[in-house]
Amino acid sequence: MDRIDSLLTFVNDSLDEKDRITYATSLDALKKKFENANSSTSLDNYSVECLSLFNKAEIGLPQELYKGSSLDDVNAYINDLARDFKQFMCNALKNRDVNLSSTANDTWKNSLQYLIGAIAAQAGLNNFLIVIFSCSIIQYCIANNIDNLCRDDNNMTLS
Amino acid sequence: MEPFKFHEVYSYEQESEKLIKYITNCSQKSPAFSITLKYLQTYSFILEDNYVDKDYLVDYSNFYARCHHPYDRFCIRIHFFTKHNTFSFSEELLHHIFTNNLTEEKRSQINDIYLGFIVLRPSKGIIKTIGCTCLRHYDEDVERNRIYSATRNYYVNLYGIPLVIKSMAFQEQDQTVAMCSSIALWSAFSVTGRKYQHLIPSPSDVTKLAISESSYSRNFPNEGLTAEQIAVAISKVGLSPLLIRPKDDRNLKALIYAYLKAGIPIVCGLHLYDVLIIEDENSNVIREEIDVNSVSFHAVTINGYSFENGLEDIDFKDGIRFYSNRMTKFYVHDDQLCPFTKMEFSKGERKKIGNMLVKELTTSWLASESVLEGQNKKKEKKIAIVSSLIIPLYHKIRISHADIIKETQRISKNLIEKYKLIYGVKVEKTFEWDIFLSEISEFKNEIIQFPYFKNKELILKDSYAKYVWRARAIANNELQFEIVFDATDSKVGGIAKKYIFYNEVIERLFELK
Repeated sequence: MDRIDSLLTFVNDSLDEKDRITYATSLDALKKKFENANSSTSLDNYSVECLSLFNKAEIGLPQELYKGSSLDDVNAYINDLARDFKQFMCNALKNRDVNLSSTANDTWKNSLQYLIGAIAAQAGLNNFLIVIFSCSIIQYCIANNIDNLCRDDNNMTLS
Repeated sequence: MEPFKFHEVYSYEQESEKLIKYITNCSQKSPAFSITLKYLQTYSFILEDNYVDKDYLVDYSNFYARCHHPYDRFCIRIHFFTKHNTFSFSEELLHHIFTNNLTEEKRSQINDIYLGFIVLRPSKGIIKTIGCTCLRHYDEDVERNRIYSATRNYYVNLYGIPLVIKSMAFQEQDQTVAMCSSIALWSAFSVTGRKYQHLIPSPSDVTKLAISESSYSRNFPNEGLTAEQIAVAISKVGLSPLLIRPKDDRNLKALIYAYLKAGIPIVCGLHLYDVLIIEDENSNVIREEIDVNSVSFHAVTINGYSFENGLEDIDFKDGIRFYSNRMTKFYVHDDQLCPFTKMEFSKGERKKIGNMLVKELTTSWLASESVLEGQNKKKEKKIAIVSSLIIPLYHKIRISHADIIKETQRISKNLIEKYKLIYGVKVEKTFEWDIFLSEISEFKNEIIQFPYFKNKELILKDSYAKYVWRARAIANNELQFEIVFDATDSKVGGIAKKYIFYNEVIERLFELK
């Protein structure tokens, strides 16, 4: 099984029977996103786009509550969620030797498990949104050969 | 029969339990007041009878005077003092005050140990309602950035001794002429009234103003106000209401910081929920859930914030990091708890309310029913979600926070692109932006305290609008430059702004075409 199929299996396994039917189309769209992960979009946009594919009421994304409200509110909510996940991820990667783009001996699977566990512990959630986010990050990093997203080594030099 | 004699000094240590019971009637306010008075290191207190409280008298004439029940017109006022070294407010000092000439030095010493007062309003029977209360807040702390900015000086007179207390007036709802929302507004008006020179209406007058445009509502008994009715009351005192429904925690922190920094109090609409704690057989907590059906609505007045242990904002696709995102808690006057009570942001973990995953605010509220809900389930506390912010603004503050964010984002993006073009290095970590509203006098007062920098003299001599938005760019923990926007301007044609540079590299970057 290739990497993208494995990642989609991870996502699929985190859904229950009912949600698998609800999100069948979303899963197809996620597969396409995974296949095109090395396109020019930024990581932040990419993670938001992946989360947005699952914008259905049952999982905590706000379609129902914001019915009649602006799309801006829905986008703001998804952005906030993705920003939080990124913050948790960076906390988890701080001072840890986790190479997100390494594919040798399937180490990416260990990185993924580490990420899911670390984010879930901080977010207080065992939600499949965390799995989608983590899978998206891993796929993006491997596709773009980025080993760690949270390093500050390119700080603005001002003097 | 009152539990304390008037005009006698009592030791707080010995009488605290009886006093707290007397003030709060064993409600959820008890622990809150007890903690506050303990933290302030209360040493002694004294009760004054037949105190004429202006706000109560107006409420009395608006409602209570025409009740059949004979409500009293006078209140009781309790003054609190701490102790400095050996100096305290004691029976001996009281005797000295009544029998000797009180020197300036003694007056100043008494003022230094003064912690403020609580007025008790008459109610039915022996139960009293907490009336106008001005208590000193916890110490401000620059290091931890704990600030109580929406406060002012209140001038008190006890036996002819002039006393000053920096606070925000607090009182409890009487559930007849004023509910929590009227009280929250009253507290806010007590600060804006002095700041912007408008009349400070009593709680019953606030309620009347708020529902003056709602022909379908009766004045009293009042059952609470909507956010729109709160905004009407703000308009009626001559200020401009700004009603905002924050999108998320980050947005909420940015708004609280931006307006509070200018000393403007914020009325905050809350949804309160009971937390359901689920335990195993050994009483270990398995998980906590929010009881969606327990929702109730409440209003408080935000008057301070703290950045203690706050974390730096991260870079995200919007390209702007907020300094305000370091905020970890804010302080409110909650009429059901006590003055300057804290509300704490969750560290990011979310809980499910309906279909939403929300970030909660922890409160000191107790659950509506603290009883076991079947085996291994119990309710103990409430959490809060902010639903709206209503900000009373001076009419000349026209440019909104959202406009400034948009403009700052644009400038920041251009600067980063220019940097990449010139230096060939991609900026991975953008500026941290400290964005807030300010009066020009405060702005210049801050500039004058800076050591020499290029253009300091020019800036101090320059003419600015009365209200400005300041967007300060911080990198590597140092202030690099700031953009001063005219808050009184029109958006059409771009908001008028001036740049102040503290770093010459950035200045050169701006100069390059």
